[in-house]
Amino acid sequence: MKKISFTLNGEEKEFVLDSADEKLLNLLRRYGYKGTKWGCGEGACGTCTVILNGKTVYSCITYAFLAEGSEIWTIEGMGTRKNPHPIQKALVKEGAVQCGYCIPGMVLSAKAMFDKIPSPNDLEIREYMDGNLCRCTGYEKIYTALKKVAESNAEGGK
Amino acid sequence: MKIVDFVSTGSVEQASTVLKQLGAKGILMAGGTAFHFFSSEDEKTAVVPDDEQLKFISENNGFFEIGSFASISDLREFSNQGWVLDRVAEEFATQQIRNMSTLGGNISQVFPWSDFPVVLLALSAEINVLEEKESRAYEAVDFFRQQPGKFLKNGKIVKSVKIPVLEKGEGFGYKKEKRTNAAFSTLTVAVYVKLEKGSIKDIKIVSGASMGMPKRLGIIENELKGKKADTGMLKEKVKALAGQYSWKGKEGTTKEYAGCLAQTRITDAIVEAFNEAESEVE
Repeated sequence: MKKISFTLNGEEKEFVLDSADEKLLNLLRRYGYKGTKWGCGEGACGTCTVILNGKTVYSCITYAFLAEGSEIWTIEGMGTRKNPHPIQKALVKEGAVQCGYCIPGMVLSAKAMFDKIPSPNDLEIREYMDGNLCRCTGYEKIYTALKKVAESNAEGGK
Repeated sequence: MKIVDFVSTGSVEQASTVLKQLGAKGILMAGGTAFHFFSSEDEKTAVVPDDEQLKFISENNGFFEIGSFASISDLREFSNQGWVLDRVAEEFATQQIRNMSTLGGNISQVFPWSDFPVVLLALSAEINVLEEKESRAYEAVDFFRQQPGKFLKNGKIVKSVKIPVLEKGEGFGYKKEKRTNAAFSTLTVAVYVKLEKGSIKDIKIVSGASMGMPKRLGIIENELKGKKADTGMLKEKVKALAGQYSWKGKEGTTKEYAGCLAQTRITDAIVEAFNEAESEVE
């Protein structure tokens, strides 16, 4: 079967596809990157979101071969239990995490947004996050957490 | 659709040659977001060109030219005087889908809910197709006369789309109905209008989704041409004429509801276009 290589969370890696039809989500999970969650499987819920060349994609509908030569970030590259990413810290601090299943996708969508717009306004937050569903929180605490990150970034990331 | 193999090519011309060799087994891969709508028994070899070559938006001689691999988020983020596709892109699915989907993909295989065919018809776009190593320009009305997916064979590839830079006195309106924020269209209306001394010199009204495939609403257009751009008159004319078209109920709605919704949203889109055209005049 064909091999592909791409930079995953800052490290160049090689992967063997199980078929030409394999989706990126399946490939990542087969190789142990299980932080990227399986949700709807049809590009609607957002829990499988990863960042591909700086832009969020639904990995459940992205053909894995399209990742050849690209740069991909998954939740495994975002922080650790001891040293969480500022987005993760803000979500926890605001009580925005309940069951947590949507959170890996939420964090990646937020990272892509803050990388492009360090201090987004409310409308920009809603637009960048509109592809991630959460069935626990009703979104408000998630948005509150992201607004806090935006405010912190505006103040120079204090 | 099941992808059984893939071939990466350099230029779009090379991709065209490979597609021609593969015949019915080949398919051009852009974002690939629509592939799961096709039968899984349909086995294809994906041809993946160097997308950077077709990923551009430029302005020249009163037109914007958009490469067919420009993503919907590229259209959303582009900003320039006379550019209107950001308003359409904003209404398109979700951020992840906007990042993956391309303009070329959205118009090469037209579904009833496809957003951009409606808009490109209203804007009298020109679609440039690579055919036999040369580009051929199609007017949108000809390109969308049949399902483009049936005609884009033998290595034909959509290379770019040209739309006019809207000038003073011109306006664009766009309304999209959907059940949830990220859902497919249940009704789309796109309107182009040109006003002169307060009267409607030219108007194009196109609707999709509730009509099935995109369609110009010529009866309403003809009735409005030459009239003063007056909202009261507009409401009366649309109310009287929208019923002459066949509207289909979508996702649980009745056709009567679809007809009433169409009447309202056609009016709203025309008013939006009037307002823009009038504001440019000032």
